[in-house]
Amino acid sequence: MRRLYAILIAAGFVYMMLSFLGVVPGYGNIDLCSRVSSSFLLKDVSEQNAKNWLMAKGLETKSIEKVYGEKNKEDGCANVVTSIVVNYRSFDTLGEVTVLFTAALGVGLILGGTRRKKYGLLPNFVFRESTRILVPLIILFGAYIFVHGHLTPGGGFPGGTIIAAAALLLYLADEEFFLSKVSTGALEGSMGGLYVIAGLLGLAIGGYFLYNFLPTGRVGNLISSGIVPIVYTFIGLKVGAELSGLITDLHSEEG
Amino acid sequence: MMTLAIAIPLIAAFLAAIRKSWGYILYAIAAILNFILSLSLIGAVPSIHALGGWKPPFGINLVLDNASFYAILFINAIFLIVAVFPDIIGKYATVMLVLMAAVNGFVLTGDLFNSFVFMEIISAAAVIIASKRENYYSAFKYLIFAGIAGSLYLIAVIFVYTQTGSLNMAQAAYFSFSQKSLVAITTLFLIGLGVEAKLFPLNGWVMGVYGGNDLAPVILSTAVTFSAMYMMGRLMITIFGGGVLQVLYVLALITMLAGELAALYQKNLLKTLAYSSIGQAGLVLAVLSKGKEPFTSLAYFQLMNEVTAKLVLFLVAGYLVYKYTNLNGIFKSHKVLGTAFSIASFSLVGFPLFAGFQSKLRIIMEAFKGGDYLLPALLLLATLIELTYLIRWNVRLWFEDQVEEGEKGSWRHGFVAIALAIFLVVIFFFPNIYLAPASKMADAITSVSGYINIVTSGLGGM
Repeated sequence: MRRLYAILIAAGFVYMMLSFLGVVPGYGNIDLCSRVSSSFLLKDVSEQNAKNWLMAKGLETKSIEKVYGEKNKEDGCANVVTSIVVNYRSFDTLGEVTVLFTAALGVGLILGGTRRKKYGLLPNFVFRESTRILVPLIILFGAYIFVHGHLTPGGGFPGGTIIAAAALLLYLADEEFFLSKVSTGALEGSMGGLYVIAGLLGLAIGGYFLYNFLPTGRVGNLISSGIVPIVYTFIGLKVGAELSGLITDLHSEEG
Repeated sequence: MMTLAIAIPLIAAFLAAIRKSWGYILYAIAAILNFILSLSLIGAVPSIHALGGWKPPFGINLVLDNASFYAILFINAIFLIVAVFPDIIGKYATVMLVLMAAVNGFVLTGDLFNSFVFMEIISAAAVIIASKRENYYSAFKYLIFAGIAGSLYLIAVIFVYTQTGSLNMAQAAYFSFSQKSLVAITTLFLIGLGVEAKLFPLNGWVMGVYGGNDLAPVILSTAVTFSAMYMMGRLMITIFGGGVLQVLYVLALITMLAGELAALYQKNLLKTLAYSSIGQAGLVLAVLSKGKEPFTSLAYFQLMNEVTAKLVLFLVAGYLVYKYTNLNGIFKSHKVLGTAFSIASFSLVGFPLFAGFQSKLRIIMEAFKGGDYLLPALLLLATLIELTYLIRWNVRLWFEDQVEEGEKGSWRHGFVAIALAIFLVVIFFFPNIYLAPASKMADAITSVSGYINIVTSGLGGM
């Protein structure tokens, strides 16, 4: 009987979602100029009249052409995804960082232990030795990814995940290896705190929380787009520490 | 300034991750600071804050109007009250800090995707809180519910984006949706918010989570429920006015009756109160779904009364249930707690002399005036059921033969519970303490043009 109910509810749900699909405009029928994202792409947010945007829809001001390499006052990110994620909608990213933080916290509270869990398996010699060569390279690659987040695809979240992969490799290669929760916790907490402090500095200097108060520089340079690479470094280190802590929790036991 | 209400608890949460032992102190400091801050925000109503300096339809904005101001004031007061109990919070201080930041953000935000992000944080933190005292099965159930609700909420946000081209709430409020898309969007939002608001088919998690430990009901049935109800009004009335309010009305009435009936057959004190809070949520949602004044203000008035009473009931019940195994006649040795419990339960039922009377009577009278006889009839029936089980519990806890030797009670619980209980009596004599903020909230929520005006006039200086 329970299964019958489940099937009925699932069928009703699928029918509901399918009937809602009719609301979504078909492929190719979307007026891209009536999307805020078109302004993110053209980097002309500050040229738009926001009031008209709210009241009617669509672009009104023709945007001034932006050239790669020129001084760009808008935000200076060469990577448009980064400019949305860490600049236009940076507050959402702060929220997402907090989601990950909360999830890691929950795993720590439920699974966390104080001692390394031993599986009694000795990993392969080739694997153990090659890990020693690979780990610094992986960490370097992860750092490269998040430092260049505003120029190339990537950024804080993938960079941090790559760094955590190094920690995972160490756990798999060595039965004795155990990261202390104190150090990962301190790194993740201080990096998260620094992100909020960067936002508060913006509030103090520019009057807006998470305001980009540093000069944006030339598009395409490593040192450009103001606080974006700094924030991405915080995020990268934080995500790396968080996921390493998570791996530590999964490989530990009470004792 | 209003971003500080989110930034302070968030930075405290990150600091608490560095050294676990700082957790409670940081929580207490953040709760005090946040309460003072939300009081001081009264001078800033109404205003917006554009995050990062990007203008609202492009960037994210926070909106502080009468509705969100009183909501965060009320919510931060609850977090401050909970800060009195270090033994309840225990090692969950960091999670509570995250929850505080998220609930403040959820209420303040003027951006749909941003509200989804905060809802995600609220559910993640709430699930962790629910897992206290190894209540893992219920917490997992809650996790599934909250996860599915979150994804439907996200789909609703995507639907809005395909229609309006932005994620801004004010723009969505201005935009005229076709009836078909309005139904789709509001249905999805209703399911997304329905889990936190304890709407009928989506409230299977409530009994296990509220009945499983002492921290979860105290904070989830008060602050989180309040924010969910605020958002329900904001989305269903201000932004997507119309929509599926009729469906909400029917579901809410079912929720009310089902919750109260289930409470009647429940043998466990915490679970009884959990079902009772489902029933009360149904009442609030039913009144809210009328979608117009004076019902909206009465819904929030009733919600404030209910949340205050539930805070007392869950504090006392959570304290006693985990101290004694047999509760018969336990109030003979905890007279202060017992008095507070009785007052709060009488207020919940709606006896004269207690706050609940004022709100329930007004709801019935207004419903009669509007020619709706279904709501008063069901409300009276629900009240009768509520009366039965609350009196039964009161009799059992006060007058049955005491089985266990009573220990010395905690002065913190006694003090807070009796203070809140006296407050409930004060509200009966001066209902304007709650009714005036509630009607200001309702004015802000029912006025669509007012909301759009706040955002557009906030753009002036940019």
